[in-house]
Amino acid sequence: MTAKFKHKSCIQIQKLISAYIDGELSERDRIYVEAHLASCNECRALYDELLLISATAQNASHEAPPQLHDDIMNSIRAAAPQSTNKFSSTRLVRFGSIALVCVLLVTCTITFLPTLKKQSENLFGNNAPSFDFSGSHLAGAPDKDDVASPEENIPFEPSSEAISQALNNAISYKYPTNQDVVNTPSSDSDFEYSKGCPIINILNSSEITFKTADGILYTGEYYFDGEMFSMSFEIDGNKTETVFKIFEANGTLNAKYESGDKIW
Amino acid sequence: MPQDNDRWLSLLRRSSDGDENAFSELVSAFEKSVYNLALHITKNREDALDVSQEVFLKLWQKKSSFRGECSLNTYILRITHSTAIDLIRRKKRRVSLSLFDGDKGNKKSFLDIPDEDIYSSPPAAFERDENIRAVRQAISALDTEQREIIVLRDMRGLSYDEISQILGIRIGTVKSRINRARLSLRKYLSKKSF
Repeated sequence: MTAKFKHKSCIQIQKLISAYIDGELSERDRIYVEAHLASCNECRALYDELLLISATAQNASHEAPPQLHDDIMNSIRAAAPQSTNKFSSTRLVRFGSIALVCVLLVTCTITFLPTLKKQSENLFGNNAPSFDFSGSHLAGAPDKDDVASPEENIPFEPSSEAISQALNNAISYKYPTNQDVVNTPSSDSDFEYSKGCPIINILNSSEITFKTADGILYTGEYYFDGEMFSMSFEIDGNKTETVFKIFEANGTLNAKYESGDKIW
Repeated sequence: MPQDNDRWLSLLRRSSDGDENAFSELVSAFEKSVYNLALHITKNREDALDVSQEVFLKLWQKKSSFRGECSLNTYILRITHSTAIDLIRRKKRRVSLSLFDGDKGNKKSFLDIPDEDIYSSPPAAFERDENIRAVRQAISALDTEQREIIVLRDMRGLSYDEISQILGIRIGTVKSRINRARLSLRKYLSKKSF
């Protein structure tokens, strides 16, 4: 089953033939291939051979072993209680810590407030300042979201998938939905978001990939110390470095851009 | 297919609500695809089983965070691809590290890891269709990149766009890789009088 090609156009057809079989050619290329096949026996033979191989391969997949389904479900049942317990114990420690801090605050307030007030009155007389515990006077103080709570700063070892997910959520990667607006995107409706479909993917203990809007895949390196996540890529000859802070909040893993090159 | 994807997403939502039967249905729908892709990347049955379990475990753990911006099929096969490649890299690293401890006289490249012959074991021995067996053997002779793209396109029937998303490569690369893979199969099979 071999075919010999005599003409230059046959070599071009050879490059297009699989996409023709798969129905993935543009209308122009499809017409070009069909016209050539109608007049070239060698290329027609190649087409027939590749079509037969493709059709046979469609029936060549392996059956999954019969025990696989049960093995998968058993592994999930085995993992589920662990994750539940882990979540519960983490929550317990967190709520316990918060409760302890609250008790200490209340105790300190009850114990020392009269003393402080008395000392203040001694110092300032009737013009003694009052103590405001509402926090409303703290104008210019950082927003609550900007201040990490103590438990958020504890180094931990989340899975690489969870970190990838957090990074992808953080960068809100966007790309134009319409080529006409590439140069003049006017609003968010001109974009699609890639959230949920990772464009950053951690491959192993040191390698990471980043996919651009037009599908170019870069492989780089990363380092994670349990809190700060640093990743570096060489893009078009330039070395980039970007740092994110990884933290847990409300039971989910989050990433926050800290510094470096914004490559998305 | 969109209607399939709607059904899968519904099963995933029910799974997120703790419906184990719904997740079991998802496993049934995808286990063959996952196992086949893992098998053709790792070329080892035990590794393919391990990868399959890990893929569904990851899906279970992420079931609430999937936002449905690509089809669930694409999403699951992408996890399969990265999990299987990761396993191969780990194995190669272990082998290359072990070379430093072994007898220098028997030094081997990590590229020499023997592949299990997944085509001569019992399931293939019972295979009646000679053409299918020949194509399977030809696929096993391809390199990893060509093998997995034939699995995704011909065995799983995915579009070039879906394959591009799963492998993270351009559609043009998908097109040329599929063509090269099929021409390699043809060359191999022509020697075997296919």
